[in-house]
Amino acid sequence: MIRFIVVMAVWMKKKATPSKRRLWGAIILIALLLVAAVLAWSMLMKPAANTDQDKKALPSPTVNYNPATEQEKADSEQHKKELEQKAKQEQAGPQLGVKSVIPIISSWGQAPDQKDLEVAAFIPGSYEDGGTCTLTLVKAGAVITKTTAGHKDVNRTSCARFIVPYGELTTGTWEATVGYGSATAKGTSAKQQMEVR
Amino acid sequence: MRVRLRLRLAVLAVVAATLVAMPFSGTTQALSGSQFQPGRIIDDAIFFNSGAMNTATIQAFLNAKVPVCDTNHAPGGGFSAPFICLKDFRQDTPARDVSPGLCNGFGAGNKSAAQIIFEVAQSCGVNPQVLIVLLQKEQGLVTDTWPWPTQYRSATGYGCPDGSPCDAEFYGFFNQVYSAAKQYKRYAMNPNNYNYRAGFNNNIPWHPNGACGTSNVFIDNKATAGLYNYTPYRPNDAALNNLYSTGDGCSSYGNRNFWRYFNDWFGTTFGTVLIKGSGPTVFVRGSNSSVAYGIPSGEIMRNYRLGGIPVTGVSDSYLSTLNTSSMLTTLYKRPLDQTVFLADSGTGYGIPSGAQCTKWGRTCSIPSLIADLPYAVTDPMTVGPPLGNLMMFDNTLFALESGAKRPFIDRNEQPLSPWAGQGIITIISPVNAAQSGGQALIYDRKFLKVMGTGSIYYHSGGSYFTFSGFENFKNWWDGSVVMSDKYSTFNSSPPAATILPGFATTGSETSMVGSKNRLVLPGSTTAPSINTTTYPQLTNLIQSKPVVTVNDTKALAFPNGAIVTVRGNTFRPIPTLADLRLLFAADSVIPVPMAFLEAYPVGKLFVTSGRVVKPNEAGGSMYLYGSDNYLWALGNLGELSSSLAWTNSVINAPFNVIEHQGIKIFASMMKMNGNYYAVQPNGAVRQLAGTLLSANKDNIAMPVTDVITSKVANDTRPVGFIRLDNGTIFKVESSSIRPIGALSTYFSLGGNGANTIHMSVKAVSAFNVGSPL
Repeated sequence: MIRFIVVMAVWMKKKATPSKRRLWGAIILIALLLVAAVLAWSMLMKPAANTDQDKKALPSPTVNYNPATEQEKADSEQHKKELEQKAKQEQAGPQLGVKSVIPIISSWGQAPDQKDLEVAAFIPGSYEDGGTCTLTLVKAGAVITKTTAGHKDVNRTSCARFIVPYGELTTGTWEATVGYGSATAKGTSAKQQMEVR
Repeated sequence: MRVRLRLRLAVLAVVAATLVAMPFSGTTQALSGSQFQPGRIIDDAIFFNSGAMNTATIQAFLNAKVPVCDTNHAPGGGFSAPFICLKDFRQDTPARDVSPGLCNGFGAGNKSAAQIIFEVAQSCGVNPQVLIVLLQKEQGLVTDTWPWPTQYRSATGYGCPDGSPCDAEFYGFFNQVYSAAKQYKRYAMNPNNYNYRAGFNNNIPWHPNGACGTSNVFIDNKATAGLYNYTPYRPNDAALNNLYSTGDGCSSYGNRNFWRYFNDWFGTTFGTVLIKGSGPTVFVRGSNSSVAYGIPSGEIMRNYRLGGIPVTGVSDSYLSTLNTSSMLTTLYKRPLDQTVFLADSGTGYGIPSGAQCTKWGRTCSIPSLIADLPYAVTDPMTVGPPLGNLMMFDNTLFALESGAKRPFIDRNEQPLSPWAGQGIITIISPVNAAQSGGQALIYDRKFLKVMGTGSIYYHSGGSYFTFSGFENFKNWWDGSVVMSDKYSTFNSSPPAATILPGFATTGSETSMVGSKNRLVLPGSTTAPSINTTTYPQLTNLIQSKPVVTVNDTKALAFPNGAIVTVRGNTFRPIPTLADLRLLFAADSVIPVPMAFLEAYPVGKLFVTSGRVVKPNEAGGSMYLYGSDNYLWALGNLGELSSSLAWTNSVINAPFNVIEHQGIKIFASMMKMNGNYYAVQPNGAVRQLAGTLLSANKDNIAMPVTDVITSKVANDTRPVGFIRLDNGTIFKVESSSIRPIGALSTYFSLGGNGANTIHMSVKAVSAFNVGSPL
């Protein structure tokens, strides 16, 4: 890059008058200073390489050491606005009565060994221990019901996994729903078809 | 001119600015929402790569994102200056105990955010970049120039449900980072306990609003399942189509932003598995990204199904920063799992204990022999049952004992063994079946061929018997089922075995065990024989074949074409096919093995009486064989032709193989069944009344017995006259014959062709000769 600036300077020198050459000299000097500053900055930003920890670290050619983009800064600012809004909602106090929730049947499948049907579910909008989760399976008039306890997960209530022994099932398609009930929340999931083989 | 100069200035400034900016360009390719794979947001190899950054590089990264912190920003959100940016944040951290299998605890101290991120990453085995991105996607902390205390308080959103206050139990920056990392480990360690699981169909909502619905996602790996367990929403198309903005009312952004920030800041979320420098060796990355294992062979590679995975070229200097001292074997561990597995053609078999490992001839106690591999390698492998004690390899069933493999000579004998009912692991790769061969496992009566020596053994009752040769073996066994043994110690150290002779004696009975039947000898033999009193374990084998009793009605046909009969504990060769046909019925000819020749000595030819014999040394002379064992010399072609009428063949053989007491002169007269006959030129015989014959008759008449008597045509017409070959004619009277002097007398006495027989002059002495007529 320096070579390029020198070439440009020579080119300008041939084309300009003496006064303009002085101007060009100043410009080139500024450009060189800019380059030096950038190089120095990049050296400062380069991770130190003398500690034991550094020796353990892998080279990270893909790590982006650029300053946050305007978009990223805007994301942070937007987040704070959402925090303010959430704080206001929280200040308004909790919802009175029993909140209506819609449990989600998150995963299901048969265990590879015993073929028991395993069903997992959680309740968005709820974060508590002590509620009751109820799995209902229906097929051609047959009804199977299993209950487990709800518990706090990272940011929601999750039901302990339902396990329906294979011996209680017949092969074919079962229609499943999960209900949740507690002192503060109540609701039933959408129906979910589950194939039992 | 001034305008042109300004233009040139502007061009130069743009060029210079561009050149200056280039080294710091971040992402080289624009990220597109179409690249988002809902089932594979991030690979395990990346997610759990705790060595991706260290405190210094983390600090440098945080510094770079916010070069200048707006510490004195105007109050906002209920908070006032000073505002502390993440790069400057410090806190007193409490100590945390070890959580087995999850995190290795944490030391108390006053630590920076970079230190906390790094140390939590090391403690819990999570990529610090994951934690950095988590801080950003949950609270925007990384790029915030004036963050609020509440953002630190709930930095990773742990315990913060939608629409409700955060859980105070998890307040605090360190608490949040540690809790999140530990939770990610819980998801990976105990996947069955959580909502989303790798390898399963998962029903993931688009948004906390249930009305937005759900979608089915097959989750590829634990890391992605962990992200969904942490933030249980999937970005919809609107969110992905506007990757750096907002979507619609059903868009969620948590997992989208995780993926976007990770790509923008740290590159691809997909890990490289195989790497290679300038040398020929390909390495597979370990679960610890500072370790790579050299792959010694294609066979080892196949066991992990690594063949289809692209190899990423890396610089030698980078390779030198990795610990590459260990080579990949077929023993490995999965991340977060202490179980050692045996890799075999894409299946991992858990090894339940060190003792079991030793049984299989492997060592599980030396870490350098066991590769700690990332999920990217281990997850695609099929998980087989735990290694037991039985291995099927190369169509052979083995029991593993003390590092040796003991072959079952017959796999069907497993139920007879101490390993009855136990599961069998089928091993494909020879490197996993390289144990030394152990003692053969053989329980029932079996023939086995030891491939290393070519020897064949019969095993019965705990004893081994072998054979003097293949011919001998074939006699004992028809060869239908012989087990091969390529692997037992017998291949290098043959078993002590008794050589089986061709004959066996049970009680007073001696027999030859032939391939199809058992030949019971008619008498005693001097051939080597094994006695079932000494070796009762042979009784079953001997008695398993049908019995053929050898006696004088049997002709024994040897494979070389020789046919014999047994007479007086001696083999007597049958001279010709004509003799065979003459003497034996077709179903009395028994094929016997050559070894049967050992049973008896070979005697002289078995010649039946009435047969024409032409000794080689006799210069063309021929004889009839009499039942008195004399050779009766034929005097002319007429006698020969009459004898040939009986069997139409001649036995050519030297004198010394023809049992005979001497030579007599054949006089066209023979004795059959106590009667005397004149042999006529056509081979028919005419009976002579005994009263005619003198005491010398038995010296003149050749005796014949046996089968030849049925071959001779008996002309029963009355004999009135005898004409000798010298022309003399005798009248047959009641007790003598009387010479006829004149032919007219012959005719006058009624002589004719029908009542006149021909005899040799030599026969006269057999008659009582009366006075001439």
